[in-house]
Amino acid sequence: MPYKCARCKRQTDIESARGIKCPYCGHRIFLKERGGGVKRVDVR
Amino acid sequence: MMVPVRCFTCGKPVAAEYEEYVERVDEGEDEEEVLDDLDVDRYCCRRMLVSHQELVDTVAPYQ
Amino acid sequence: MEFEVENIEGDGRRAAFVVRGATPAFVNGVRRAMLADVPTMAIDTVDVYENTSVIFDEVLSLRLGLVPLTTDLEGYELPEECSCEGEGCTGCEVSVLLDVEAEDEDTTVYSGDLEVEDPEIEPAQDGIPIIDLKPDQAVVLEATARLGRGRDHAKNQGATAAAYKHLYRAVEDGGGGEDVLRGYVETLDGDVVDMSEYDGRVSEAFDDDVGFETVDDAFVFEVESDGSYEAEQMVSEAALSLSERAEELADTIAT
Repeated sequence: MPYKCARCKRQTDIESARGIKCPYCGHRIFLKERGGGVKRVDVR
Repeated sequence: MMVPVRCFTCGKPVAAEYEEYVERVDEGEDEEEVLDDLDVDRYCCRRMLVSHQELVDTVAPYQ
Repeated sequence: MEFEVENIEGDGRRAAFVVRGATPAFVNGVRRAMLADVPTMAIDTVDVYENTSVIFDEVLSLRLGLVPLTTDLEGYELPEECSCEGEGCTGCEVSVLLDVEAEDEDTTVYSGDLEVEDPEIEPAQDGIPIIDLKPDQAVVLEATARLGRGRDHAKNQGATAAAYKHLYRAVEDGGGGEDVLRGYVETLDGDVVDMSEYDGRVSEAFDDDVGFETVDDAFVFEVESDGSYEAEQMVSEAALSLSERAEELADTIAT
């Protein structure tokens, strides 16, 4: 699952970021990246 | 965020009028006259334009 | 039932007319048919390929759904009445594409940017703002538009205003009484005048001793459409749907 560090914007894997911490800058907030593929939305 | 496409109450599409409304009011025209001129007659539709706050620029930096 | 319809006004999206010889129940049936039964075309499902804007896919889809599309009842069937049994075929759905990228300046995506596969169907207004894009943001999607009814979703409500009231008639020696009247009034000569031409003031439109009464079997109808139909077509579609349902009821009772 691709995540992005909220401060340095670099991509990380949440598994490799041990204890939810950015391996590059140490920031502890992550943003989830938009999943690939098509998203179907019903207009209801 | 963005202007509602239709009036919540009656369903009249009002969004297309919003940009002209803002422009003309900024130029100092009277809101009442602008709304009358744009054929936004009912008060349900009028409040849609009058009370709208554009927020896209405020949220933009947060992705 | 027989009645007379007399047009007073009509310019595309708005219409006003007088129906004579009808009952309140019938006229209300037409009104409700316009709001809930006449099918209109609207975007129903959206496949989002890319959306890097600040607006969620769901919000964007709802906004697209609310855009009125011109409706062609000859060319399309309601999905539940279509021969494909709701599977989706060219007889009941059209695809709509939207592909906009803001390169290096702020861009607003308008309903006019929607590309509909069928030239008969297009957004009723081109100037409806859908989303604002900042530089490098893009939206790519493919949507499917289908017919639907106002009773199922507000986006399919073709009439934004459908209202009627009794016709007022001027009578001699009525002794005045009214100072201000709104809407349409029948004069002593039988013409129907729009009181807004006189700013509603009775003293300007009539003589002093004229009074007013309601005509029990005459109704003034005012209709405004959202652009999916011309107002006049909207009324006839409503009347048609009413008579179709009456026939269906008669058939059901007969069997």
